[in-house]
Amino acid sequence: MIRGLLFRVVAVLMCLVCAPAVAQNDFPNRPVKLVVPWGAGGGTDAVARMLAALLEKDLGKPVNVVNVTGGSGVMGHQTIATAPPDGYTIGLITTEIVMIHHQGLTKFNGSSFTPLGLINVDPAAVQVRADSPYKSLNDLLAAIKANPGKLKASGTARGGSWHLSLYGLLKDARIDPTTVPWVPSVSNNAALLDLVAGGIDIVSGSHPEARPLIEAGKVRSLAIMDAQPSKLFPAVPTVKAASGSGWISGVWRGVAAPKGLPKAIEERLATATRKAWDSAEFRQFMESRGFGLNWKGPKEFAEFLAKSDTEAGALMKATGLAR
Amino acid sequence: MVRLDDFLSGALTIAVGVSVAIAARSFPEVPGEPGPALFPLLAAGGLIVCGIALILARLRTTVTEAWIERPEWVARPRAVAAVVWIIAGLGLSSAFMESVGFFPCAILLVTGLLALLRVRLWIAAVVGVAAAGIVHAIFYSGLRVALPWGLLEPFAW
Amino acid sequence: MDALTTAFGLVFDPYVLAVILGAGLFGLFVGAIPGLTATMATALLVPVTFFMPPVPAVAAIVTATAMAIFSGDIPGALMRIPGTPASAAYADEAYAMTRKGQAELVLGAGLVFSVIGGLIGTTILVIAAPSLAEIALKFSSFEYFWLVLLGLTCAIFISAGGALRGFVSLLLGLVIATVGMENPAAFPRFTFDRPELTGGVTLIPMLVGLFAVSEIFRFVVAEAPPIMVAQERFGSIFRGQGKLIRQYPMQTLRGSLLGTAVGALPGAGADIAAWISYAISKKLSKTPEKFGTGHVEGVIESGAANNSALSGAWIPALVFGIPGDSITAIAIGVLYLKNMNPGPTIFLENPQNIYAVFIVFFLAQLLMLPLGWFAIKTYKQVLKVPRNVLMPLILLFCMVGAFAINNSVFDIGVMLAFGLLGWFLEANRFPVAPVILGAVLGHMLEDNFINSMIKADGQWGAFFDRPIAGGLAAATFLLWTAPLLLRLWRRARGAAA
Repeated sequence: MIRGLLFRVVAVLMCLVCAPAVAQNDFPNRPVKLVVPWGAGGGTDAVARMLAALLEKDLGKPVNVVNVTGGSGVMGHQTIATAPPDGYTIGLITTEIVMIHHQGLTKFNGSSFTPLGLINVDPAAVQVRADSPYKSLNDLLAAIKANPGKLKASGTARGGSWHLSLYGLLKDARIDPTTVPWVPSVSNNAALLDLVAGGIDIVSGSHPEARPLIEAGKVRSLAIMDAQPSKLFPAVPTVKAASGSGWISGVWRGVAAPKGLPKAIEERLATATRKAWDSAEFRQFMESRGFGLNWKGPKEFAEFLAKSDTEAGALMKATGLAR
Repeated sequence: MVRLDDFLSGALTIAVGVSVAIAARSFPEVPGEPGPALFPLLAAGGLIVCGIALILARLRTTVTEAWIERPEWVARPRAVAAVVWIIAGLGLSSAFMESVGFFPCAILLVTGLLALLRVRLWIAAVVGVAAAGIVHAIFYSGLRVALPWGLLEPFAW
Repeated sequence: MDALTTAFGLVFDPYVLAVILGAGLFGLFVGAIPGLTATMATALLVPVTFFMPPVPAVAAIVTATAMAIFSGDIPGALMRIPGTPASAAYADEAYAMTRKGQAELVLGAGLVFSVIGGLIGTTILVIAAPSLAEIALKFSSFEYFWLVLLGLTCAIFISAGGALRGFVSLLLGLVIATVGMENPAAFPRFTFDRPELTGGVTLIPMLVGLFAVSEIFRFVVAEAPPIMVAQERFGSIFRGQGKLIRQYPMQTLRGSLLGTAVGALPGAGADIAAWISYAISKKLSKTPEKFGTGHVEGVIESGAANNSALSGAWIPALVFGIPGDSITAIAIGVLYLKNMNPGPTIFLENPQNIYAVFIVFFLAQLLMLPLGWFAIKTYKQVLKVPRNVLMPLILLFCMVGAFAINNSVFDIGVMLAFGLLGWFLEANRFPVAPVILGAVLGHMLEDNFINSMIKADGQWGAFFDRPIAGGLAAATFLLWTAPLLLRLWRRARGAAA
């Protein structure tokens, strides 16, 4: 009787010890967590939920979206980076991961993850009020030069990605970025509203975010910080075409796992991500929202992370946003 | 819970205000903006003023009660045990639920508190297990809340 | 007219009706669990709506959120645990009524006036959406600053333990709001080097702690545990509601109109609408002294307000794609996905779809009557469970609810801390409701003040220059000085007589 019980206890303990080894062979044998560093209801959350639904089909186990918010994405990215590297915790990492460590908010950066695939890039664009006198990017830049400190800009929190995009553009145009005071906002939507209400003059943000107000004739987009015009508003010129500056900037989203993921699981998840990205459902979803569809596999994604990290760091130091 | 004389609650309010103000004074300044210290300082100032007002109002009345009124339940071991159980249960869950898992935490919390509230132990245990199971089914399986498995990870579904 | 006929056809289709019914039950369920919000209900619905045609997809969201906001009232009234932040304003009042043995009256009022508020809000949405949305777009940080200040002033009026004690609670809430780095300077304040605190103190664990956990503490130390609900027998929840409608028509209308207006402002939502309405109700009541002792008047007005705010939030969402709250933020995504792009053209292109959405709005409100009745009937079974068994179970739900909002065990600790704080505050006659309001509005007050100062280059005049801002400022000052002016006027009249 006692021996029988003992045997069972030992058996259970053996299972506990051997579980990770077994798990690699038939991954996944239980639900996978997809951590999102941003709140339920936002654009990143929507992308994650769509992706989760598609990954679930391929992996054959539930893929649960877990929103871990707080501290400009610090909490969520930290949660992904510190999870056990067993493939059961993956996450959607976003532009902020190459920025927040320069601000001294976290010790994690792009190299703290196993990149699985970059799925989307949304270039930044410059928006003004539809009834404003600025018809082109050059008009706007000239006005900024003529009246330093008068025009106010917004689009995200202080030190957020849109903030960096605009300051990079100004720096590239040889304008002191600090002559355009940054008005922090809780979301790009809030900034756009303030723009329409006449509170501020410039909003830096993506086309999908500004789309309803552009379509409603309340907001004008002057230029997009990308190599080619956006699909959503092909008439809006690139920064290069509008002012000659080659500045390119935007936000991106990618799937990543904690560092140290076993090779077999990494390949399984990267393939599944690619498959989801390729699916008609995902494409239709992204296009209907106006989100850019870009793909980089694990290797290119890792290179991309390293490159954006250096760029962001240099820009943040130059504009006084790094700590 | 302890009941304080208004003289002491006023002093406590002032103390909270002062500590917030001291902490806020170390916040950096931001050029061209009021800075992150402004609002905590305003709130702290408000607390200090309110604390003084509480004390002044108290001074206008005559003392009849004890300064610190000890609650009567501290004399009843069962009540004290229940309070300690809730604090310890929630506190330990907050610290260890990730590694131990939802089930042990939930079952212990509920069963123990039931027993302390004079429910027979075997009923308490049954209710504890059943409640943990139902809550887990609703939140984890139904609403997809990622309740941690902890030790039971290999048996996760 | 043709489009309208098509729209009716689109809605009254067995599949769509089944979706509405299912979403309604789901919303009721989620809203009634403390810690789960209407926003969460919507987010959970999103993956399901991917695979639906446009009308049922939007119908599911509309129905689920309306039900969730209403059902948040049920645990608030029966156990003093507001199911959603929008119910927190009057949870105390409703619970006081339950203790007086008027559970069915307050729950029935919550239901009936939620429906009326929702219907009025929807009517306004249908008739006046484009013009109201234009007004909402005139609100910049200056206007929001005054609006928030107005809301905070209201909190002082509704505090139960006297203005001074209410003010202390409010200031505590404001201090709590400063925690974290989500402030204009993005500087981490009072985080004690805990990364969990960089995002600030999460509202839901705070709410559950202050109201529910403190109640559990009080229960376990009580000598002869107080009877949580004075009555075991439940009458019909609809009895007496007709009388209430005749008795409080102004309150109902005022709450609904204010709710719609506040809801339509993208920076405010159902919770703020409920607080302001409750305060106005008390301020303008013939019997303000009854407030806080279990008086239905405030519940009627703010219950109508929070449901009409839901409809109001759709005004800027449909007309300009600007979310009025976190729920419509999700809904806008679904609209795009279904090629019903928000914007002025939504009323021109495919009008049958938007008409169908409006019909769903009305249908959802009406469906709330039978479903709400069913939910209350089911929920009251909870009261038959002996209190010493019920309380530990509530504690378990609180713990999971606090965890669920952010998937963080840290929030369980936050809930415990606020449970102890709430217990201490109430034992010392400091009201807990203003703490929540301070924490909710503190961010908005600071953000809008600092942003306004940056925009105005530090010039104070800018706070009064814009017409709406000036009007709101005048209203705020009037509210502050009203008691004084009233006294002066009475004295002057007394002298004349």
